[in-house]
Amino acid sequence: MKNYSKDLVAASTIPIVLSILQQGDNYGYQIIKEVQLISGGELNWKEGSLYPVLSKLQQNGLISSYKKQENGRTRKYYSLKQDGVKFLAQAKTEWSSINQILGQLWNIQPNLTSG
Amino acid sequence: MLTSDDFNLNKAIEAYVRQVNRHHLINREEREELLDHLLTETEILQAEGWSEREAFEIAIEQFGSSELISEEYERVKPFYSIRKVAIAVSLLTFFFIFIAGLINALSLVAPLIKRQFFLDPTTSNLLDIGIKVSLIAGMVGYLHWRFRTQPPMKVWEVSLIPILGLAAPFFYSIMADLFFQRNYITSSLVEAHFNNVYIISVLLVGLLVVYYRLIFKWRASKNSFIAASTTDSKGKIGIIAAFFLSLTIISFIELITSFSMWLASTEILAAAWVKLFDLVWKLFLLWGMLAIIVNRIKNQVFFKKLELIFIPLVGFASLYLSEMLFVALASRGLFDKTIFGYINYNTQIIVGFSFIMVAIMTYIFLFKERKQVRVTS
Repeated sequence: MKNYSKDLVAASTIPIVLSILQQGDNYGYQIIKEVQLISGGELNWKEGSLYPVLSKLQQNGLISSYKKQENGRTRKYYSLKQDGVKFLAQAKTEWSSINQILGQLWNIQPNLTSG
Repeated sequence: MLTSDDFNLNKAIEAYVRQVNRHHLINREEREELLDHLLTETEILQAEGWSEREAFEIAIEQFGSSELISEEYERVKPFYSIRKVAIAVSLLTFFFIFIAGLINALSLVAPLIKRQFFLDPTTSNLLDIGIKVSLIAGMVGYLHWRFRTQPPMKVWEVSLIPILGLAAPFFYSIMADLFFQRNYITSSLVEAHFNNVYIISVLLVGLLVVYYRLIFKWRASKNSFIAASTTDSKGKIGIIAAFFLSLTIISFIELITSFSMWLASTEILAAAWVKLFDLVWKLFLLWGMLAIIVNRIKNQVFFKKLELIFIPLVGFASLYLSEMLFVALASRGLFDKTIFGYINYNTQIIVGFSFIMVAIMTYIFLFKERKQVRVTS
């Protein structure tokens, strides 16, 4: 597990959450588990921090929520809204251009397999 | 499921979530979501072989400290804590009283200039409107900027506003007395009063438009899903609604005054009884409202849907109704100056006392907020 700087975590959380929701509707617990799985356990958020972020994204109209019965439990599912899709597209261009700039400065060969 | 020790998982989780929700920022739906998360986590850990208590402790550790999470909720919902909303409502009300007092006081400026420079009535009237509108426009612009960007309030701002609100009416009455004594007051003051009514109407209509737009947006954002309605706009709606509620209470007190004046003019009751009843009704109204508000806050329910829609309208309408009744009574000559003096005295004591209490509460809340910010940062 690595300790990423607080600022970097804060900046990347929203694009990460939105990207996971782009793959399909999901609920809080599962979103966190997927982040942990994809990052190989390296990106270790405090799990509870996700919920205020979800609340903020909903306030800003990027995602919406609905309830779904599952194993006798009511789960709150989130789905990406049109504004969220737009926001994510914008974030993608920003992050990849920053990535390119740093790559050039540090002389790292980019190993992007797809655009 | 239960283990031999007296550890109760559900209670432990509830207690933890209550700690996260110490500032009452989380609604029921979000609370259930957190409970669901922690229950799911502990179940999975228990399936991996941990005891109930161990599973709970690991789950809490992974979830993060309750201080951290509640702090993050606070950052996301700046207008959602009761205390902050209370502060905002009281500041808004005091700000409004200050503006109303200020334009009343400004009514005295134009007649003075008119006297000094021998202006004709039209110019003087235009001057009066000009002074007031430019000043109010500046203040409204400032307030609008505040609401939109929500920068942290500065200490001097928040401490000054209640004082200004409390002082404005006193300042105005002292000024007016001074002018009356020196016979500076002319008919232009009546015109100035109408200007004030127009300006305040425009302000209030503006606020109503902002309010109903917020409600409309808020409802539209709910769309077909059963979405959580925890938006910052909900907080703003609450603040404006509560402001109109305080306006309603003030107007109702004025309505009682008019009613008492009418009652005194019918001579059904002796003047002494009218004065007493007047006091009792006003106290009754204030205590009733206070009881309802305290009860609502205790039960964590605030405005109901219908109330949200109608309270601002009632507040707006009752303000004019009280003004109209007052004018109607005065024009019919049903206006006994001595009785009015007594009854107005009742009002001044009750309203003045309530406002001083509200100001003190505001300062206490502000102090607590400041302390809390210090602790968390």
